[in-house]
Amino acid sequence: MNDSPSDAPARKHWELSREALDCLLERLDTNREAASLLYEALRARLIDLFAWEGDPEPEHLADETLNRLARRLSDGEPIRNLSHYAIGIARLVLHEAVRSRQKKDVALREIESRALAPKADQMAMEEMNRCLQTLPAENRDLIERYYSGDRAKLARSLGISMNALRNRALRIRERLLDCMQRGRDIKPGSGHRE
Amino acid sequence: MNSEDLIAYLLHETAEEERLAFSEKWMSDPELHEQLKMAEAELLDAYVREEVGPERRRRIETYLLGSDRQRQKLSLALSLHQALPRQRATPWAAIAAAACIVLAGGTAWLATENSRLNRQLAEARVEVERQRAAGPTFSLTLPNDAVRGAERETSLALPSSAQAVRLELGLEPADRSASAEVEISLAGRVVWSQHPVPEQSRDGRLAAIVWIPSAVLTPGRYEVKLSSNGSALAYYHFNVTPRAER
Repeated sequence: MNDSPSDAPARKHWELSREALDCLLERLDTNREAASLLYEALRARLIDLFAWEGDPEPEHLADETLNRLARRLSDGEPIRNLSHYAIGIARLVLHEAVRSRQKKDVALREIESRALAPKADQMAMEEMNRCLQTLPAENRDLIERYYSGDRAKLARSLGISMNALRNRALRIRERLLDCMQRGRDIKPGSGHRE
Repeated sequence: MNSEDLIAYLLHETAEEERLAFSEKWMSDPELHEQLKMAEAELLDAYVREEVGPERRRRIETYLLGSDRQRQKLSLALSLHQALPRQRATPWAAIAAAACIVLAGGTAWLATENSRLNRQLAEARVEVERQRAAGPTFSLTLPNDAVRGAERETSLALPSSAQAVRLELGLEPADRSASAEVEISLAGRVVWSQHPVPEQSRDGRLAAIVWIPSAVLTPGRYEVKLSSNGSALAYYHFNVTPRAER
């Protein structure tokens, strides 16, 4: 049983094929719908893994990792634990990405940088208020009380543990983030350059 | 797994081997992944509320704000912070301290004030030095021109890796305004503006916070005007020197 990926060269031009993707989905679950959900969950974890390494392109690296994982499976490589194997590939992908970035011209990176600092200006605030209004009343009330008041008291009043409260707040945050990202895609920009 | 362990993982405060082992653990444990996401959200909340120390602040900037995706999370935390400010207890201690200063008379007040301003100036100079070693986001503290004296001006040498600058504009209590706005000008031309401007209070000192993309700050002498409803509240100045390579 091989459970650690080798750093095999010459795979740069390989593209994910339908067969390889099928192989990965089949390995995740024989039911295609359940497999798709597991695929998305694995992708989300990989994105967080790369994001928490401080990588500027976590989504891209997550997709690259999944592509390589699919390829290994379609090549018939025996993999015992998919998550552990994915981490092994992820480490190689991250290592390659760091090396590749080191070669880039620093000035070019600066121009490429889309990084505007977060700024809660009028537009962002309006967007946040709009997104808060899209929440069901119960969720809106919870998040307002979570951020404005005593959390222990809120948990007691809801009859849930602090951890359960934090979890509910996280779910609502994720909905707000999604709402704000969609709004940003429609109306880019927040603070403004004159 | 306690929350400090989760924070230590997110901020790369653990040894590499331990980190790798923990990555394997949470990658196959959805509940642990959720715990990490909660810890991350709370770290970003603490960051925008100025509730983290300088070392953790630097680590958050280095490890948690590396991608657009992560910066959007920070933007959310900032918007939440402003849309839903945490209720604060009445600052009776500060009020009592202010009352004591008034009662103690003008001389004592001036001595205290002088000492505070000197401390602010010293901190501003240290801050500039600190920037040289900082990560992609920089913080710069600027005392109000009215309390600093025209001969002393802060210089900023941004390394090429800098992506954003966070200005902390020193505020006097009388300058507080719910509708404050900021304009930053270079040679009379406004290059950046922000409205509204969030405030923070730390160690009894007030500051207005402005974030600026570093690309906006070409070399030159900048004037920062803080105003409310068209009336100037305070002015600040700083120099940006040519970019330093890192």
